[in-house]
Amino acid sequence: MSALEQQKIDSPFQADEGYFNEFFRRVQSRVGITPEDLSMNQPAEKVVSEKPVKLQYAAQLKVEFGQPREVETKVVPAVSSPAQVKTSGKENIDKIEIAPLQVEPNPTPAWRNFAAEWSQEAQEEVSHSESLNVTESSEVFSVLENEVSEAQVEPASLGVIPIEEVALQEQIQDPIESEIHHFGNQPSAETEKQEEKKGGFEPAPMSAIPNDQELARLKAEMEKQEQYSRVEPTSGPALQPAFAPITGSNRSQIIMNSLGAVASLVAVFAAYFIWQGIQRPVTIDEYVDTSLASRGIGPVATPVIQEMAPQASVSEALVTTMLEEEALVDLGKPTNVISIEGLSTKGQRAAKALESYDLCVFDDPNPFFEESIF
Amino acid sequence: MSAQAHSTSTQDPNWGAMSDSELVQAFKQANLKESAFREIIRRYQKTVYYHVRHLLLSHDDADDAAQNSFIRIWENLDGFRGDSQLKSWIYRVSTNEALNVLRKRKPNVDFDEAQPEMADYLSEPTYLNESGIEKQLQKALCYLPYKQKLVFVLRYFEDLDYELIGELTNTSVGALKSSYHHAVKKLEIYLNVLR
Repeated sequence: MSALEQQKIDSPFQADEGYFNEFFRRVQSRVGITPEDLSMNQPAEKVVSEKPVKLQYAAQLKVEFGQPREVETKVVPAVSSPAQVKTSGKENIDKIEIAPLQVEPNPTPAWRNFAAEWSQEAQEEVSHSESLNVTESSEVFSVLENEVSEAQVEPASLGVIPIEEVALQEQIQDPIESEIHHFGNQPSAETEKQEEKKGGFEPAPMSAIPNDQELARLKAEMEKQEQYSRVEPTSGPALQPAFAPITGSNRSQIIMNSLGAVASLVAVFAAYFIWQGIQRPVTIDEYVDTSLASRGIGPVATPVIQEMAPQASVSEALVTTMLEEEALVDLGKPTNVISIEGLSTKGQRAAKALESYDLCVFDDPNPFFEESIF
Repeated sequence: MSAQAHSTSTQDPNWGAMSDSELVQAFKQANLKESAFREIIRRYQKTVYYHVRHLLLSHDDADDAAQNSFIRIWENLDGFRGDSQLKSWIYRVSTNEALNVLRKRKPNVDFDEAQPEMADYLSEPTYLNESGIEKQLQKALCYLPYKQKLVFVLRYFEDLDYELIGELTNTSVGALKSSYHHAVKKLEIYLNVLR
């Protein structure tokens, strides 16, 4: 008994009972008989004697055979007092009375009309911004300079610029400028110490007024910014090439030179190998000769037949056979005259082939030879 | 018909206790025909389904072939002479239905040759245990000549004796044994390769 029979392999197809029950009913309906369930009319001994499993949900066990129940429609109350809506039954749908909605004012409202407040605030802001004079940065700077020169007092005693005006200045200036301005406005360590010595616990002003030095520095910075922003290629210094820092030093120049030499050497070697790769294909004879020479074997002597007919297109096998059969030893000399009387028909054909390629000359007394067709 | 079946003229007979020949006789009576046919379906539907499923491998084709087999049984059981067993007759009907499906799939099918392309139907997962040696064996069966596969299926999976298979295939018992033996040897080789 084979291993397949000893270890019996079951079928991989396993259909369930539900499929066979459906199949049972389908076949009955197809042949036109009253469909019965698969479990019906089963023999008594084949009926499974297990106890019926009780369903978990009591609702599934209830079967009502009376009048169909009316569907209770759940009415979502539209007002806060659902008792005022009458939903007694389906027949009373047309009689539903909905009490008028009574809205009582809330003495402590938990909501605010933010939209109205926002629009009011927005109008106030617009009116306030219209009252401000928007000036350019240079004008602001000149105004500040004039104020400082006219005041001729200590910076600390000057009044603080209104916050709105400073903020407006910062808005007008570009980001770089505003950054510089903000940096210049920061109080130095000495200023802070002096303020501490004065014993003031007041917070430092949000923007201090710059002194003369700072103003001069700021002016210089602004001029510098304007100079950078102007594009004057003819008056400015010549633009340096992109690789100027690399090629500028002597050391990098030496490295570049050596890299060039190495690259040229690599190119030469690559060209050599490419040339080796694209050379003409080696013939079989050359390959055999070179392989034999590499093994120490000299060139093989060329057969006599090949020497005789180096360009012959007639089948060499045929000629060779004829030579062996007829023992035409004198064919080694092409100019020999051979009588063909002693040759067979096959030999005569071979001789004719040799003669057609000027390999030999035959004495031909037989007219058959002239008429023979290959 | 037995006494048990005769007693059914007044009350419902015990269909499960009837033999196949009694079922055939009951089928030929007009008043018992439907009930007898139901019992035949109940008794042989799994056998027919699994038999054609082994031959066709596709569940949908097997379902069609099994259904058509029972329709043929309903139509032709009246003419069943009882020369052979009902079981072998049903096997023959269902086998012919399976072969008809194969001819629809491939009109010039040669049942003396293997049908290895049928292994593609094993990718259909309906009621198929996809893991294990069982599926490998079904795949290997596709490489057997179809008649050899039929003999192997009837003998190996359905445990029919050679006499019944010979009755079904009109082949001698000796030829069946030889065919089965060769099938087993080939399958063992295929299974070793597939593993």
